[in-house]
Amino acid sequence: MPQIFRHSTNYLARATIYGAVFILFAALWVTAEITRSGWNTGQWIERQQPIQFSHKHHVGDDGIDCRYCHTSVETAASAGIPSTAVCMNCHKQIWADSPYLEPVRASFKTGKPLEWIRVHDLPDFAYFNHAIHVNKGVGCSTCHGRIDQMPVVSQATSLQMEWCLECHRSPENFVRPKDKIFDMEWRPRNSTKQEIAEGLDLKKKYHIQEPAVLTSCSTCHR
Amino acid sequence: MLSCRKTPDAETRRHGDTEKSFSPRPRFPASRRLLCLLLTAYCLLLTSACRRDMQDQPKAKAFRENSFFRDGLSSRPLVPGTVPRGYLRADREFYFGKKSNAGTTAQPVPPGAATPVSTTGASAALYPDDVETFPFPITKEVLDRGQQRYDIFCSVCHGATGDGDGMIARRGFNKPLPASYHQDRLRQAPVGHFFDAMTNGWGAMPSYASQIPVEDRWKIIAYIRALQLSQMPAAQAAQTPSIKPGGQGVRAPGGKK
Ligand code: HEC
Ligand code: HEC
Ligand code: HEC
Ligand code: HEC
Ligand code: HEC
Ligand code: HEC
Repeated sequence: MPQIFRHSTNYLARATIYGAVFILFAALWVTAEITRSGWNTGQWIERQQPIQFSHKHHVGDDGIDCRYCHTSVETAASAGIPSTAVCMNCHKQIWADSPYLEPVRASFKTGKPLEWIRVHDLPDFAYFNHAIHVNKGVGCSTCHGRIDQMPVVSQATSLQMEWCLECHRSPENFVRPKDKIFDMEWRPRNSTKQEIAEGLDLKKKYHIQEPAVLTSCSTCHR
Repeated sequence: MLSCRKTPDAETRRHGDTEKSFSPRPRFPASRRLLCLLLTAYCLLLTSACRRDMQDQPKAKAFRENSFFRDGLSSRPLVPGTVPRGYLRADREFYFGKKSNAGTTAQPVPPGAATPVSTTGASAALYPDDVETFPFPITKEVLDRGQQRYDIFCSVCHGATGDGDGMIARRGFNKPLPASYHQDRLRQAPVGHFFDAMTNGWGAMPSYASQIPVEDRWKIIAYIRALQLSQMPAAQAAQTPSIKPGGQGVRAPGGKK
């Protein structure tokens, strides 16, 4: 029987054994990337809501403050979703006959709440609280991106544990002054020495705890 | 490749392999077992993207729907006839901005604090039920908080300076236009009237009772008073009994804006 493989194939076989290790790590890496991708985390996926509510119109064009609608963002774990009555504050008169707003009017009449589709949704085994972040100098746009430019809300960050930890390990890179919390344009600039010092100052001013506390499992899994 | 066969027998042994006697070996060579294990682990990794029960627990969270109650809400309305802790509204002046009946007057101002600022004006007679004094002394912190809340909730319609030309008014909320605070009737109106407008609504103006806590409503009024003062002709400002600059407990708005 003639040999199918030449002798040199042995080297190939040996290389494949080491290659397997490489392939294994590549596979792990691909898995990690898939887990991090929007396909898994839902990042940048726009969800169609029952009403075409646009933050771009209401916040960007009309300049309505986040807290007008998300009333409890400074005081509670949940930011709060506005009730139908809040929409009707203005839409009693503005676009009062618009077909787009028919569900709002129907809900106002019948008392049946509007059912929005959740965009940001942490798993129930993780605990998150808006009040602590907003009161300790973490602004909306750090986590939610440019909401004021979004006709349809999508998740601007992965909301994965590694993302939370990135900030909890070094909050000084992200915190901002109190009066900039609702500023959608604020960006952290940590390039010069002075800017880094400002971050550290703010961290001290807000009495932010040490990373050891902020990254301990029971902070978020309680 | 995955099928785990027996070790090759003599016939399939190839050139270069040395003769050896085999001691009994496990059916799966260690290397294959390792491979199988790793592949299983890898497949398990892939399932990490699947939602599990711990991810969506059937517990009540804010704004979540709930199949347990017929109306589908997990946030429950109040049981009729009950008062939640901290929501006893016994103090009529503070919680409703209405004068309490003579005799049962509750004094919300702590002893030793500056006396409440009187804001009685000529048109107080128009609103006989409404209180004429703030329930707490007005300090800079109160005004700052008031300004912040005013900018969130009122400026969209009434405008940043209170002229009634806010963005929403310009976009069509103008039947009628939001009131300007800089008209004599409102300059003279008792503070309780503003509280009333915010709490119960006034004409086309919606109620803000659900969005603004009681204490913040008073602070907003303090800021509106400061706005009014800032737009008043100097002569009139001097006459106004209510909010003299540097007067009892009220700071001049001049330094603020
Ligand atoms: C006029 C009222 C209004 C204002 C003002 C407003 N929002 Fe919203 N917001 C809503 C409503 C209604 C929803 C639910 C519908 C949706 O997701 O589009 C929502 C949804 C959101 C969500 C997604 C919630 C989810 O389902 O995960 C985020 C994040 C958000 N808003 C942030 C902001 C920020 C930041 C601001 C200020 C810059 C702001 N909003 C201002 C009404 C408002
Ligand atoms: C403070 C006033 C205000 C509130 C509160 C408000 N809106 Fe609006 N809304 C506006 C204005 C002003 C416009 C017109 C936007 C424009 O043309 O720039 C508008 C437009 C809209 C439109 C139609 C936009 C279009 O292009 O056809 C929808 C839909 C809408 N709003 C939904 C809602 C919902 C739902 C809520 C409650 C969560 C709400 N709005 C709360 C002021 C408000
Ligand atoms: C530290 C990051 C962070 C900051 C800062 C932040 N959010 Fe969120 N937000 C989240 C996360 C995470 C969720 C999802 C919460 C959940 O699923 O329980 C969320 C959810 C929401 C929701 C949906 C309702 C809810 O509470 O579940 C709204 C509305 C919202 N945020 C608005 C805001 C506004 C307005 C601000 C600025 C004042 C803000 N957020 C600041 C991370 C943040
Ligand atoms: C951009 C920065 C940032 C991000 C992103 C962030 N956090 Fe935080 N977080 C903070 C800061 C700052 C504090 C305040 C720490 C303190 O008070 O000492 C905090 C506090 C908390 C606390 C309260 C800690 C306590 O002492 O009880 C919880 C819980 C929490 N974060 C959960 C989360 C979760 C869950 C996520 C991800 C979804 C997240 N955070 C993302 C900055 C961040
Ligand atoms: C800053 C907050 C925070 C801290 C601290 C934290 N976690 Fe998490 N953890 C989260 C969040 C948020 C998620 C959900 C991530 C997601 O949706 O994929 C999570 C998810 C997990 C998961 C599930 C992963 C999955 O894919 O389902 C495990 C396991 C976990 N954490 C373990 C830990 C352990 C162990 C520690 C302590 C060393 C810890 N966490 C500390 C926020 C935190
Ligand atoms: C949605 C737009 C809108 C917002 C927001 C709004 N108002 Fe008004 N307001 C009006 C309109 C319109 C009127 C005129 C009502 C009328 O004459 O029928 C008015 C009238 C008033 C009046 C005059 C009542 C009188 O005696 O004539 C007061 C006081 C007042 N508003 C206070 C406030 C305060 C304080 C806030 C913030 C908490 C606020 N408003 C927010 C639309 C608004």
